[in-house]
Amino acid sequence: MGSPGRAANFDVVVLAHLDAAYNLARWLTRSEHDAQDVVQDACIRAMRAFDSFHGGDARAWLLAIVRNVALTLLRTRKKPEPLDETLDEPQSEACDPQEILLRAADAERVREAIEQLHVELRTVIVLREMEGLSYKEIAGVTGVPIGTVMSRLSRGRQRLAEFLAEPKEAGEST
Amino acid sequence: MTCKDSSELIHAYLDDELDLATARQLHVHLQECESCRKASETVKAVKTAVSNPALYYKAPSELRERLMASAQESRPSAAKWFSQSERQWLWPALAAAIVLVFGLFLSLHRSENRTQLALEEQEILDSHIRSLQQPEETHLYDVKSTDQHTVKPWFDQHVDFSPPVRQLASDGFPLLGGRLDYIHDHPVAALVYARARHRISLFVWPQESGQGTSIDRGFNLIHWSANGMTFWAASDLNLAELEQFENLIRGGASPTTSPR
Repeated sequence: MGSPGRAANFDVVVLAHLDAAYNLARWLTRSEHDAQDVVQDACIRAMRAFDSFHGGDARAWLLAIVRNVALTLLRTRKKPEPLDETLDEPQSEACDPQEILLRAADAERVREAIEQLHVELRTVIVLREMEGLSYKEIAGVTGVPIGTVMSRLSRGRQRLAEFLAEPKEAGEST
Repeated sequence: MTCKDSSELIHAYLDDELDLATARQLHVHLQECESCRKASETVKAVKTAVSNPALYYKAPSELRERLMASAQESRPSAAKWFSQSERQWLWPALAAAIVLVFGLFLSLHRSENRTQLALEEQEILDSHIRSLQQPEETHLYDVKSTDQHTVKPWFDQHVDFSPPVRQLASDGFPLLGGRLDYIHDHPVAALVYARARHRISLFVWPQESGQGTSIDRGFNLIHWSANGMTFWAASDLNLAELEQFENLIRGGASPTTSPR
């Protein structure tokens, strides 16, 4: 009992991906406190479910657990979530790349843009752009087909482009 | 490539998820089409904005420490990481840790067995397929004879065990011959039987190793153990007939063919 070997395994498999787990939880819950609860709960579930983990991509495995825990929490919180009627519908509208690049360095503005995305769009954006997961891995984490991953990614980026291409609304301080 | 194709593929292109040929086509299209090029610049700008490292939330160190502590549950000092409100996590964590030890042990053990079996199956099937691809005389048989009293002594001379060789012609599975093969770098006896136009390779070597049925690359494989030997039958024959063959080799009565 309490063998250092087991602890080391848990370190390797789960704690090595703690930043990834926290980053996803933080973006999904949009709250530092909730993110900590989600990650703690997810890690305990990960430990319990370690038996079902037969090697493979530990990060994707842990992120799938984090996502489930976070979505469950969001459901119970009934915090207003951004709505997106056309979640899986591709759409394209030209936005000026120069306008977007002007605001790309403004982390606060980009944060706002990401936070206003529907949670499913936010998930794929975070997994792809911040974690660098492949489409296949994202499909595994989110439990949807690759085609859906692609359309959500495209939709999420389109929404971000629209948001970032707009100058800040009047009334907000610059 | 049309602009519609391009707008669908542009994300996969910039995410490096396209195959080379399609990526090349899209690359050419982007050079020719101004509006698609602009759309691509827009996606790139968004990617740049979102991958700003300032947006990445690293796990707070107190969270990391708390989780490390619960992973090292049984050390008495671990308890000190648990404040009053977090103590509820301790016992589930302890229970989980115990499950973890067993789970890890079992899964390692199981996956090792599974891997071993899968490797064996691969080698068996490779050997069977290889034998079918050769002209009959070159590798299908080292000893070509329908007479079990020729085949069996040949094996006795070439391997250090004595595989059971049965003539099953009267049951519709004529013996065609045998060959020496290698599985896991060990010499094994491979007997070749026929069923109409189908060929069955029966691999035999000393050592018991369970039993099972599988299908791989369109071939059926059955393996079983008897009298201290492992048997693997591989064929494109249907499973029912291959099982009938297994029963005959095992020495049981054939359920579908009544001799004479």
